[in-house]
Amino acid sequence: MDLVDQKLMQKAKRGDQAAFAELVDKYGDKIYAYLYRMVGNREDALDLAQETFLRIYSNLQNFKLGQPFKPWLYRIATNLAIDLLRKRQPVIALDAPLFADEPLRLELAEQGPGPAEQHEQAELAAYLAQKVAELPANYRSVILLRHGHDLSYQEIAEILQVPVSTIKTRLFRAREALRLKLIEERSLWEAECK
Amino acid sequence: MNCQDARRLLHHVLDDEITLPSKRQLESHLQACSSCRNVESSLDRLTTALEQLADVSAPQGFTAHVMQQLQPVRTYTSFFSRMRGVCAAALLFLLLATPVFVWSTLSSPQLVADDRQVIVQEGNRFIVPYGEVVKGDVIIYKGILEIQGEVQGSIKTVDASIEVGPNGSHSGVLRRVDASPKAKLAVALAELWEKVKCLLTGND
Repeated sequence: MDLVDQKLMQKAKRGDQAAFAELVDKYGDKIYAYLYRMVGNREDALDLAQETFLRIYSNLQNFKLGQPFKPWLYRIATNLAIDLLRKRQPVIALDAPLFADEPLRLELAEQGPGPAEQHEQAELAAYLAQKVAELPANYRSVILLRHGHDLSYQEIAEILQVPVSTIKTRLFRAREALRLKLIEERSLWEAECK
Repeated sequence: MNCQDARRLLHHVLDDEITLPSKRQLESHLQACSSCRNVESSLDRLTTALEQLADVSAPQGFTAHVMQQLQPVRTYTSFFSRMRGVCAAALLFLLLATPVFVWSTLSSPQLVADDRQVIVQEGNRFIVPYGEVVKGDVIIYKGILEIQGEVQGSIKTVDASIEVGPNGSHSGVLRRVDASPKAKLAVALAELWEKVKCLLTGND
């Protein structure tokens, strides 16, 4: 458990706004990045990231000290993202295929000129971002929370309110699917170069 | 170990969920199997690239913007703890002021009437002047009510007397009450109520 978070939350609960600002500062970028990958565009990501922290603030008194802060934060963010995705597409099939026919909207990162290797890396990241965006939301959240946000199986299970075994299955399936897409992309890219 | 087992274990490695013996077995399999080595390296590439996806920064001034939108949260505890001093002072004032007011009221003659402004006070005498008509009820405490005009309402005297002048008249009910504590309190409360009414309506 993060003791710094606990200290800040303790102060924030007593009405210390500076302590709350420190928490926003600490997790703002991460939550924004997570939501951006979840909902696919910056505008919605910004709205939801702000809403996440506003909800944390209005629920400060419900937070019990000793309860881990990070999973709570990500749970609120995840619920907001899922709500928005439901509004956009009312029916999310739970057993949807890993890659649906209709990809989600995603803004591709702008790429400046740079060394060839860096360019390849950026291209790879953009390609992977696209593929992650095409994953069904329940797979996408698991893969994002595990990689880049450093949450454990147990914490992800808490955030998504599903058993740990389900988390393991989704992680395995999502990683395999993405890995195969990467290999596909790499062979395409190499074929083009030859 | 076959390749299927090895690939499952490669995922477990990513999540630090592997026992030491399994890890050794996996390592020896990887040394022998180049296709599983390829899976390992593609998984590494994948996780590195996935981690890069989290390297997105919120727009500048994000924290400040969030802080601007915060509504002040007032909980019961914080509200009362802030107001505790004021509440205690008000309560103490009421506790001290009520007996002082009652005592000061009862130590001097009092007259309570709806048409109080018509009645003139001279020392302990309350005079209804000639030609004036008091329509409402009158309560008098510790004094003399001198009626030169006319009183139409009922009169209640507590420890007081009445003198009716040659042209004075009283057509209402007259009740004389002894100065019992209960009667005194009734007078004091009636007087207090008059004062509060004056405060609320703004006229004297």
